Amino acid sequence: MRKLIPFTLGAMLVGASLPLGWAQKIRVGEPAPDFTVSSLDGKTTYRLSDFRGRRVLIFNWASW
Amino acid sequence: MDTQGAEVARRFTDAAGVTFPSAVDRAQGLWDLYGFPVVPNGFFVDEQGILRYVKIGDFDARNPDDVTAIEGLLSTPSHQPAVPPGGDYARPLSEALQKAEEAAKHDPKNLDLRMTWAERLVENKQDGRARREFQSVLDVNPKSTRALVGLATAYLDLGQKDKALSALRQASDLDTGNWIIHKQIWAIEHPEQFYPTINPNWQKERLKEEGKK
Repeated sequence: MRKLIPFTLGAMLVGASLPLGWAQKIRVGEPAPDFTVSSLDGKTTYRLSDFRGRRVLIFNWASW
Repeated sequence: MDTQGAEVARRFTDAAGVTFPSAVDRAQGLWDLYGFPVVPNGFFVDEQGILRYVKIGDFDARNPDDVTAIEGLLSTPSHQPAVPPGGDYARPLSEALQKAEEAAKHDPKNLDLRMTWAERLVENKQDGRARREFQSVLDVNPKSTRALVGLATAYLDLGQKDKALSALRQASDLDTGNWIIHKQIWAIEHPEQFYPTINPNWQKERLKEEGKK
């Protein structure tokens, strides 16, 4: 099995706390809403549902 | 999660030597769909497309707890037949655009579909058209933060930074706890504090100043 390799992307030192009264839209045990995003080279797209049959780890980060 | 586009994100993936597929959610349909106001987040989806792990905020591959959680999920036996490794999951931009356009035109009153289409238009560099579609959503629902952020991406591409910031500020005022919008305004207003390296002290000072107001 592949190990997770630690790495650093961006920095989130400020403003990472969840606001009061925030309601989560998604739940463990429920289907992951399908989405399409553009690859970093801007030439292609990825769609979550294309990965059906595989386990997918989505790591969601930002440059700021 | 970068309104400014892939360029600002690529610096980090290059530096980290990332080998997994990386993508950019510019117009931020994803945060709207998944409903997260912060990053970094981790989601694990199983073979059937079911969410098995959700961590909103502070997900970090250097944090032993996060690593243990994901490795635990990976070590669970799969009930699905093994899919051979590899495979090309990338699709042409034009295909995603065409599908989104068909869906939006099939159901013209569905604003989510229209915004999805407009987001694909931005990716395909059809920013003028995207701007009109986002604006048409705002004509119906002026409080759509997703449309406002989308509009900002189109304005940024069109070189209209002031209009982009104005749309982002409107979105931020409508969703005051949303750090994704808030910090992007900072990054666009003060790129020197974010690129090439992030200045956390500047952010702390800025936060203090804003707290006083």
